[in-house]
Amino acid sequence: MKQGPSFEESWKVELRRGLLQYAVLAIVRLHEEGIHGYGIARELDERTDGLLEVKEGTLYPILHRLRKERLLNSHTEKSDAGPRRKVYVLTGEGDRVYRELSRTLGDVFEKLEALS
Amino acid sequence: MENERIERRIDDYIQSARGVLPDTFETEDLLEDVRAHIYESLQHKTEQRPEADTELLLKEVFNELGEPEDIAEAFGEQRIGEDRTDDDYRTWKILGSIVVKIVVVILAAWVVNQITNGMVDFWLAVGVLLVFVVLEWFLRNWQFEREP
Repeated sequence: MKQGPSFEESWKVELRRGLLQYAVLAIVRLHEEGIHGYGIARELDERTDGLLEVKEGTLYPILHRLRKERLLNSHTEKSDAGPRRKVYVLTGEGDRVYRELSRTLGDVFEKLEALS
Repeated sequence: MENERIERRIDDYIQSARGVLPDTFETEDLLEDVRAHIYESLQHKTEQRPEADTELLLKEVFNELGEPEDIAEAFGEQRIGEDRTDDDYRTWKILGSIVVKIVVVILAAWVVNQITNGMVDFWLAVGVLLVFVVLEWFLRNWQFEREP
């Protein structure tokens, strides 16, 4: 009897995981004034029609990693909802990395298309 | 009264997340983000469906947020990525230290050779000093491994 997720399910999970950092950079890049974590989660869901099936809480370790890598900066602002919230902004290095990743992804999809 | 209950539920969620995450300053920073997210999401849902029960909306918020274990797993994955960066740094640090040691050994051997007016052969001095460097390397590693 087979246990756990199927091969294709595991593959999709890995793929989504890999693309998530890129998608977060892409969304932050769209907001020059910055965007808070909840905003990123909503846009991610709306713009991808939920394709990445993200549990919203898992975005925060990614945002922290991107900030540590100096691809994002953050500052806090008041929120009507309750506690102060962090607003994330793309850095110059983040913009360079995003453009590089976009080029790589473009190349990968182009080559994969040629295979099918 | 209801507000208190809601706040207690949020505190419980944050406490559960704290329990599965490492006890670090970064974790506290991350939990503040998660807490702000919960309030944002709850307010947004309340605005969209003012007639809905707040407890029910909060359940939806938690459901979309994921289990604390999901956050811990993502946290671990991102840390693994960072460790790779640390490995690269360590490799460069070790290479740099080897280069510095070799330069120091050559300079020291040259000085010894000059001071003794060539009585101590330069290459012999290099060899002896290299033996000391290697011994010191092993001794330091041994001490490092024995540190608790």
